[in-house]
Amino acid sequence: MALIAGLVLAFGITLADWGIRESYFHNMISSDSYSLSFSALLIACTGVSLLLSPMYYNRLNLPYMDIAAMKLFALAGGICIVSFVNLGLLFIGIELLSISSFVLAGSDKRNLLSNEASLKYFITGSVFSSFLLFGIALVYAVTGSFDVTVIGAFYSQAGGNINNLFYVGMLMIIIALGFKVAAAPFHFWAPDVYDGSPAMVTLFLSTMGKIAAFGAFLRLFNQAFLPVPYHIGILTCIMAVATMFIGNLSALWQDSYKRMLAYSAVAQTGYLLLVIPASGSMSADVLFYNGITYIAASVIAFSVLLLLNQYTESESRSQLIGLAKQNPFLAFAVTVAMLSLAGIPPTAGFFGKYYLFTLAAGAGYTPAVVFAVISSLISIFFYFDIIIKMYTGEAQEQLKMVIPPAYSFSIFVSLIVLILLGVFPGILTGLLQ
Amino acid sequence: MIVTILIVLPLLFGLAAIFSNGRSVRNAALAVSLAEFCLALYAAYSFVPQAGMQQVLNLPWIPALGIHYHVGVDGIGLLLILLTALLMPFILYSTPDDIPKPGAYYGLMLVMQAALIGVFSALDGFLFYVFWEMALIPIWFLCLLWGRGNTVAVTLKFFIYTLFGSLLMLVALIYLYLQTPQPHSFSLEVLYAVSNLDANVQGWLFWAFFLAFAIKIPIFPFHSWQPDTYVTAPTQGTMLLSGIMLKMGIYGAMRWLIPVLPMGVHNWMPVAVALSVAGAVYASVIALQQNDLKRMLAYSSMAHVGIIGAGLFSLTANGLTGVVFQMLAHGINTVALFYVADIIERRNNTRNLNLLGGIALADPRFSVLVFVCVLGAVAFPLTNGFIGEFYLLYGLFEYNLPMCIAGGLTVILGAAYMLQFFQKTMFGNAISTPHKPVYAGKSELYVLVPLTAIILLTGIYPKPLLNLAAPAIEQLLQLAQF
Repeated sequence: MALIAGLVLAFGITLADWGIRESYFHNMISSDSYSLSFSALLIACTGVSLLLSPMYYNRLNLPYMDIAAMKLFALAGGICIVSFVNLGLLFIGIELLSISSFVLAGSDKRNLLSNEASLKYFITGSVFSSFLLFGIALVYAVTGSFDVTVIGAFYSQAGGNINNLFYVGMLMIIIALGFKVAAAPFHFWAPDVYDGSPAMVTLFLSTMGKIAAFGAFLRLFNQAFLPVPYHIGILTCIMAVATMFIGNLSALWQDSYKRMLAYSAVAQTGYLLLVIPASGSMSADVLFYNGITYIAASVIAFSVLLLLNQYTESESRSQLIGLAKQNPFLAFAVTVAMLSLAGIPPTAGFFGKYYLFTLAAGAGYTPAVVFAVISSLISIFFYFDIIIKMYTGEAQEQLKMVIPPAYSFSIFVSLIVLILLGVFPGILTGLLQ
Repeated sequence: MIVTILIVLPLLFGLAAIFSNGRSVRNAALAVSLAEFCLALYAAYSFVPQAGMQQVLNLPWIPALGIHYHVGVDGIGLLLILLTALLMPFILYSTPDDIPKPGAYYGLMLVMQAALIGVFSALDGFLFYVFWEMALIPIWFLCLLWGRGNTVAVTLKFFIYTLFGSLLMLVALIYLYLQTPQPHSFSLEVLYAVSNLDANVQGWLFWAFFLAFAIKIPIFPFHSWQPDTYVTAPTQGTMLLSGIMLKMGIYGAMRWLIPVLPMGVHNWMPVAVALSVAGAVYASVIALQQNDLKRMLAYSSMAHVGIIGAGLFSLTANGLTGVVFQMLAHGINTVALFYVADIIERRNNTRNLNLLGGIALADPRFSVLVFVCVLGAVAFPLTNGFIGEFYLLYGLFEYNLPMCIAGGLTVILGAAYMLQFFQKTMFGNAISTPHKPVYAGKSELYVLVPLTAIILLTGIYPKPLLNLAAPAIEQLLQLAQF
């Protein structure tokens, strides 16, 4: 409880700082509307994760408090990387987030899969961290500064007349951050880690961890690498399209609900990645809006998984058959979440996709938008399969699911977010421009 | 303002009904749909045909992106709203009393009505798209949960098909939006004024829009979702789909395709007309060979809309007049015929035409009413179908003679299969024995008598309806020039 109260306080302080522009610690970190909004989102996301935790960890018989501490460390890292000014802090933040994530992935010590996930994540993660460091070093070598505003000024003044090592450095950073957000072809860790980790951790990693990494990714591009070089833009677009297709096509074949969500998370990364080549004034807004809707939909989708985990070992999609009869509210919430992930109006996910597509098409990447549209058509098959399963057929075994208040609360809030933002997206548009 | 009420009223009641769980929800839904009809009649009464867009309401919705809640009606939109509001009470009333989960069923129906009226009145591209997609969700659930047979596969096919078209349209809309002068806008007038697109780009955009509409209508060869869906859906779902929903595609082309991309339309017009006519002939030939009553009606519906599509893309004043009128006529006739099919199927437990017979003897009243519907469907003079087909073929004649001949052929084929249907079901000896000999009981008459009356009345005196739409059609033709 104290933890949650602390997070609420932090959330409040973040909001209270709105409109103030300051930088701290010798210009390492700055508080602006971008960092504040993303920090608030990450804090809220962690809060939900802590709120849902006690019941889950009690059943697994794991020390809840240790894990909560790890989540808070990860949150600290996340806040660092959405507010950094100095590339040094970006690296420290990423490491803080990553190391906490490695521990979290392995938090179910007695479970072999969880150990495997942690080890895989740790080994690959360390390798890609070195890419980040190398990239930062190269950028420093060319520009002579770690400060993103200085780098940005240097790059825009050079106007293309810049040492090629700069581009190599940029590419290294893209590879490293691409790994963190699980973009193809650096996504291989994601399905295994998401699937192997305890479901609670999967929720945390695929929402807080991912949105934080995206926040850092876009912040870096918006401040240091504008305008995005043509080839880098094309390259990230290709990465984005590949990620969508790999995620969506793989999700089609998963029987496990959890693994399906893991691949769906990869696919959603692909869509979000379209903001990177389209960096510019509108991109922060697009990422923030999509971040909120993605988190809200994920919270609902994973809550069902967490509830299922309380009653049965099986994580098969067929466990959801007939859910609507047992629990209409839960089924309705999941329906809205799936529609939102699939991008069907009037849910928030539709406007998010629309916003994203407009941004990308406006930046001249119309072909990527066409591919994105086709891949979202593929995603209908598995998102709608969940809806169909819930509403048709009879449950094989009647699970007498009791939804604890913490779960009802977070599902309800997420539901409100998805519907409210879907009907009135104007609340958030133009916030960060 | 009336248009907004027409959208919001069923939406609110529908959402409330989905979460309610009482038997009284049927009466409430009927009351709402009747209120809608009265409101729509009032809107038609206060409508001034020459005055362009009316009942306009324009509120900023997402100001940062220039997206508005902007609705209003001209003659074409108004007639379709009237059609929706008119058919909805019949569709709801014809629902069997013992339908499972009545709350969700009637709720989805009302949400559907709200989305349809939204489509027919939206004057902002984004709003139009939202309503367009919103209409898909309730009908998908209706077919999935209350349909019969392999609903999961069939409805998913239907959904994916239509969503594919819609998403292409979304990309085209976004592209157009980015071509509008700063600050970008989705407003209809602004989109009409976009003139910096060359023929090549217009061609691409034309196909993106055309696919979306052609799938919905459906125009050959994008129709393969349709027969299965019509047969699997609950009868009321089929009524919605064929009576109102496919008009979304035709209306969409009139409002968002022809005036926005005149050059693209002009270049691809022959292809669109040829596909439409080919589809109409193809569907007529298949309809002739069907033994399944519902399947036959599904193909007959496809044949009719094929001719509507051909008239639409012929871009002549007569053709467009025919399109507007035939949309109404087809909506009424097809709803009546699917209802007839449902009555026959319920009594006999079969839809097989070869097993049916002798209905005229069992219930002559019923057979007379069915005969009027059949006459409407085969475009017999003094029925509404005649007026529509006449204008359509006239328009096609002005456009291209061979196309008109091929189109005329479908009318003859139509007469063949419809009369065959009438003969097989009404006369001869019944092979199956109905478990209830009376076909037209009181509640059936409440639906069939008004519908047949409308078929005859609008066939004898179509002028008021034609007058309503004439200025809007004239304006459309002006916009189609470039």
